[in-house]
Amino acid sequence: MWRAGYPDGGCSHPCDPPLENVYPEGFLIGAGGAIKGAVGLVDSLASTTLYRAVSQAERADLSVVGAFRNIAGIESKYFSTTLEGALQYSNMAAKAFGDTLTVVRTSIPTRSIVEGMRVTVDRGIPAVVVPTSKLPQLAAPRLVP
Amino acid sequence: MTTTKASSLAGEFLASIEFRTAAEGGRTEPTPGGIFRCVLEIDGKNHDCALLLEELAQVHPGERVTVPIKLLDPDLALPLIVLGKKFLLKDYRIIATGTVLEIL
Repeated sequence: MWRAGYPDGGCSHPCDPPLENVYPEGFLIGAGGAIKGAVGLVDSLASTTLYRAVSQAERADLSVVGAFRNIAGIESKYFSTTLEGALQYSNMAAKAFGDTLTVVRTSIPTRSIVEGMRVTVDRGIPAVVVPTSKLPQLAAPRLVP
Repeated sequence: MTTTKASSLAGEFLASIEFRTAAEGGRTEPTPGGIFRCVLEIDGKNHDCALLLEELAQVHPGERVTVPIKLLDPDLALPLIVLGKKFLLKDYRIIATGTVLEIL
């Protein structure tokens, strides 16, 4: 176990495993570093929940493939970071395009969302644009009841 | 993936669109034919829209096309669309610039 009083990372018990086998490298640089390392670890594990209103064709494809994918020539997919946003989009798309949409939920590692991927559209819908190359990073989609 | 046909939709305005080349940071491959959805930025605001490309089929990076555009929320966005006004099309980066040619 890491002890704040052991700046060299020493153990309180000879049976404790070496630190390097327990914690990521970032933990082995003293108390301040340990805190930063912990924050970094949490950051690296954090995910952002996303919602997407999908067409019947995309829903059928998801049920077969179990993951998001794009047809040739489409370079991204749009998701909302809120269920309300996806439902709002769904309602507008039904009116404008005649789409019949179903909302699904997924998530993406937060660290994968980089500048330019976040956008707010129309009446304040918070969206994340996921490039096709990052679609494999998304969790398996689940239907929102 | 959409089952809606571009020909079954009516755009709200006609625009000249110049797609950026890949070297300019634009798309790296042609659009598919049919409805191509992206974000239209005008007056600093983002609006979901669809380019009704069916008659043109694919559009390659660097090409200029004249195409009808349908807005997801015309009540909100259409008042911003005036003749000659310029706008951007984005798909997590700027992919094209456009100019309003005609209100339909």
